[in-house]
Amino acid sequence: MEKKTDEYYIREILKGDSGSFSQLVEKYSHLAFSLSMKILNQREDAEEVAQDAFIKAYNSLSSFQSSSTFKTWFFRIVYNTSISRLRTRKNIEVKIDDLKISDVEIQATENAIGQLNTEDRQKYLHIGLERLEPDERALLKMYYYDDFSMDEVSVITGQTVSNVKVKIHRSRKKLLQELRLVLKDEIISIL
Amino acid sequence: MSQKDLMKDWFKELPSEQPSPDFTVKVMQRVMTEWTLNPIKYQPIIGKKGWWIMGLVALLVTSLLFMLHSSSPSETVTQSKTIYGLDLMQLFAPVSHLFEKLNSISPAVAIGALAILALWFFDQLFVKTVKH
Repeated sequence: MEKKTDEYYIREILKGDSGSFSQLVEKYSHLAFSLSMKILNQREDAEEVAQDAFIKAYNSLSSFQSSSTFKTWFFRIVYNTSISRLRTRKNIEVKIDDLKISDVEIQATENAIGQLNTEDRQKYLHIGLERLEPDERALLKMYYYDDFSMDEVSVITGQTVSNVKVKIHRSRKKLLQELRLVLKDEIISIL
Repeated sequence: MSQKDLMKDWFKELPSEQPSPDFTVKVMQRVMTEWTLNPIKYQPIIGKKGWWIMGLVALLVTSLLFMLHSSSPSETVTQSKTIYGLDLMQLFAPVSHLFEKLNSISPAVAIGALAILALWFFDQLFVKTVKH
């Protein structure tokens, strides 16, 4: 079947064809779920939030301005819905950022990760990401996995571009620090 | 290859997290529920205000034509009244002819037509009251 643009489906939905929304759900479900999962780290919650985000998008589709892409607009809804859900959770552990990793150690960690096989790299990267704060995971996911530009991440999160740049840089550094702790033995043996 | 690209490559290696297979069905069920709760409301092309204005304009034009017709003596029908070069009598001749014909309608027919119109009006009123 010929794939139509997001704008085409949006026009059809606004004309009254609600069924066209399923095309957008099919297209963005895994990306929405995956972002929500990175923030909430709980499958059931992430799925519920992704569904809520789709419903919110459906209900406010008439307010969608084509000045931004549907993807960016929708991801903003997913991000905000996930953050709101996160805030409702009780006993959120607040970690104090303490980046102690030096540039030399960063380089060594990157080299070590580079030498791991794909399966191990996936495993350790997953563990490292688990240790980050939800918004840090989300920023790294959007930038490195979903290929959003800094400007787009800024639109999605509602933060300034410079703030996003700093946060992505810090999150990346923190991820490498966590990976260094996880891989300590391997790194030592490599060094 | 730059360090940023390396990180990008490592992230791309991560398996994509997929929602449950019935995710789309669940979302669409909720969308349909939303749609049933808030269906697209019918908006008439001409609103109530529009109909009132149109009615008033129609009434005004009819009265004007009627006055024009009654003020012209029958012997001077051939006389022409012009405004900005427009021959009004010629312009309104078909309407004037219609009024003449209406005058010749017997009262019984007129009352019958009025009764039908009144019945139609009350029927519409009744249907609207039942719906709300």
